[in-house]
Amino acid sequence: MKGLRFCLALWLAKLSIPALKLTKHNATDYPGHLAIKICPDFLDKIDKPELVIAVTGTNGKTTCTNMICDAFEAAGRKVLCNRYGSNINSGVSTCLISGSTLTGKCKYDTAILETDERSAPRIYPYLKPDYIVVTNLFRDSIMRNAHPEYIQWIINKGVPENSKLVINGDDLISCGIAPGNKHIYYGIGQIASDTTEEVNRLVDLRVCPECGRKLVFDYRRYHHIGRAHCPECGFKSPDYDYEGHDIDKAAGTVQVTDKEGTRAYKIANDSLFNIYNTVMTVALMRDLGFSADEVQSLMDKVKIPATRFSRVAAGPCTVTTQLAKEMNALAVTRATDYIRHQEGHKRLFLLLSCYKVAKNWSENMGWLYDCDFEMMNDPLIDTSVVTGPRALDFKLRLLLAGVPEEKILCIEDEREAARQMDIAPGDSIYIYCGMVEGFGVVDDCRKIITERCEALGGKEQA
Amino acid sequence: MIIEVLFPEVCNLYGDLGNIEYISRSLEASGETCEVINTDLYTRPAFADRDDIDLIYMGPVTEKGQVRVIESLKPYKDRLMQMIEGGQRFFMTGNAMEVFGKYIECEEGGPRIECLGIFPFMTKQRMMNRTSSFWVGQYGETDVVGYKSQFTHIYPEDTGSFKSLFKTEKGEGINPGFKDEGIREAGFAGTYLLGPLFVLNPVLMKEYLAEMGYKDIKPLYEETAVEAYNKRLAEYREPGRSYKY
Repeated sequence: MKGLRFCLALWLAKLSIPALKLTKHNATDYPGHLAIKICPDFLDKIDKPELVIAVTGTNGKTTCTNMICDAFEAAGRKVLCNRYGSNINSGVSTCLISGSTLTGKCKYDTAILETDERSAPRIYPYLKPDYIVVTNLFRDSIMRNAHPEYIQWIINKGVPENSKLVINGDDLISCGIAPGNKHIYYGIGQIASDTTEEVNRLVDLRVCPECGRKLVFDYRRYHHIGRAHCPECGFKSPDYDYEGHDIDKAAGTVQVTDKEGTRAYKIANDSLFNIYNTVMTVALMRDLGFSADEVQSLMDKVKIPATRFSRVAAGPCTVTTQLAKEMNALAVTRATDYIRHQEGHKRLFLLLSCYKVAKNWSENMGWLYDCDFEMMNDPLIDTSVVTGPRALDFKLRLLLAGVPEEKILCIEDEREAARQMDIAPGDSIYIYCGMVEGFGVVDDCRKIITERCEALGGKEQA
Repeated sequence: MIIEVLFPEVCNLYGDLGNIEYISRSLEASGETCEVINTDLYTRPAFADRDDIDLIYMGPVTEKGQVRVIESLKPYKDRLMQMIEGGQRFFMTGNAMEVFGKYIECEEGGPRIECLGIFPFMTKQRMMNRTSSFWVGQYGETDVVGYKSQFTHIYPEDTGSFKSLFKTEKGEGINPGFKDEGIREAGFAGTYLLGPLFVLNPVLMKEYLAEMGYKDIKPLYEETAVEAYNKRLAEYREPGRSYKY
C-alpha cells in the first residue's frame, strides 16, 4: 500500500502538469517538487520501470542521456527520459509522474534519467538505478561543485550497493566512485595526439589518490584524462571492458573491442568528447545483452541534441552554436580545442556571462584562469567577440592568453556585438553559449549573425 | 623577485594560481626579473634552506590535499615560525591559511585534523554547507573586491587581538560572526578571497608589490584590468544588491 498521502501527491502533481502547460510553463520540475512536498518519500514510493539507468558526471550528461535514449527507442523499448535535463530529485520525480497512470503504475519499461551529481544522495537510494553511467568528473561551478573530489564524495553517499557503474576508465577520478560496486570500464586506447606532457591549465588529478605521490601518465589525452600509474604504491588505471580505438573521422566510425571481438560503430560527432559518449553507449548496450549487430544498427539512429551543437549554412558562411557551459573551464577548453582544429578561418562569439546569476549576484570568474584561453591565440581564429556583463574579464583573460588586442571585440551588449562584429564571405562563426537560461540571448544573436551572413549573398557553404 | 609556490600539484583550485602568473608577468613586463619555484608535496621546500625568497604563496586545496599539505609542512614548523617572526612574506588564498591554525574540526563534534598550530585559531569544516558570496572592502585605503566560496571558516581564540587583512564593507568576514576578512601577522597574509585576487584587484597588487620594495610596477594590461575592477566595484556597491549566492 502506497498510502493516501502518496496518492494525493501523485494526483495533484499530475493535475499541475496541464495547468502549467496552459500557462506556458514547461512543467519539468514543479510537479515533482509539489509531490515531494506533500509526500517526502514520494520518489521511493512511485513505481519505476523494470530497467532504470541513471546518467551523471560533470560534462556530457544531457548528451549521453539523449544518446542512450535514442538507442533504446530505436530498439523498440518504451523509454521514459528527462531529455531536457531537469535532473534534480524534483525533476526526476516529475519525469516518473509523467510516466505513470493515475493509480501510480509505470507505463514504460525503461527509464533513462539524467541526474545531477550533487543530488545523488537525494535520488539514488530511492531510484535504485540498475546502472549508473558516469561520464567524467572535472571541476565545474566553483559555487556549487567546489572540486571533483567533493563531487566524488557526494555521489558515493548515494550509490546503492546493487547498482552497476559504467565508468570512463580514462578518468581516474570517476574510477574512485563506489569502489565496492561492480564497475564496467570503457575508454579510448592510445591515439596519435596523446602526450605524456601536461598541456592544459586545468588538471584535476596530479597525485595518486591512494598515497599522494605524483602520478606518472603513460599517456594523457587532455587534462587528467588518460592512463596513469603511481610508481610508489602501484595504483593504476583499470583495464577496459570496452575499448574504443581506430577512430576513422572520414568514415565516421570508431572500433570498439570487447570480450567477444571488435566492431565498428557510427560516431554521432567527431569530437573526442562525443566519441567517448559513443563508446559509453556501446558499452552499456552490450553489457545489457544487446548483440554487436544490434548495437551497430542502433548506433546509426543516435544523434547529438541540437541544443548541444548545431551548424547551419548562412549565405557564404557557416554559423555553429556550440554548447560550452560558462563557469566550466573544461567545457570551454574542450569546445575551443575542437574548434581550433577545424579547417579554415574562424570567428568566435562568446556568450558566457552567467546570465542566470548576473542580475543579483556575481558568479565567481576564477574559472577563466583554469580555462585554456591560450587556444584562442591561433592564427586561424580571426576574431574573438567578448560580450555580456563580464566582457571586460574575458577581454583581460584573452589579452593575458596572448590574443592580440586587434583580434578582440569587447562590447557588453550582446546583440550590438552581433551587429558590429566583422563578418566576411567564407567565415566559420562559432557561438559559444552557456546555460539554458541564456538561450533568448543566444537565439537573438544567432539570428542577427545569420541574417548578416545571408546578406553577404553568394554561394552557401557546404 | 623570487616566489616559492607551495604544492601547486594540489593547491591549485579556482584558478588562483593566476595570482602568481599575473604578479610574475607584470614584474617582467616592468623590467624586473621573477623566478617562480614550484615545490611539490614530497620535495624539500626551498624556504627550508634559503633566505632569499621574497614571497611564499599557497593556493586553495581540496580537503584530502589539505591533510597532505599539513603533513608535508609539519617537519618545517620551527622554520616557518622563525620566518614569520622575521617578517618573511607569505600570501595564502582560499583555505590555505587554515593549515597554519591549530586544528580543523570536521563537522559538528566530528574528528579533528591537527594543523601546524602557528596561529591561535581553529577551523570549522562543514561539507554539506558550502557558502559563496562576493565581497567588497579595503586594504588600508585601497578598495578590494573578491569572491568567497568555501566549506570552512576560521575562528580566532581571541577575537580582540586577531589581526585582519581586510576591512569588510559588504560581505562576510572570516566567519559569519566576525566582520573582517583574512589574517595578517607581520609578513604573513591569508584570505578566503578568490578571484584570482591580484588579477581582480590590480591596484591592490601594485600596492602590495610596492610594500615589498617593487615600486612602480605596472599591472599587465592595466587599462583593461582597472576598467574591469572599477566596473565590478561599482556593481557590488549597488544598493539592494545581495552578496550571498
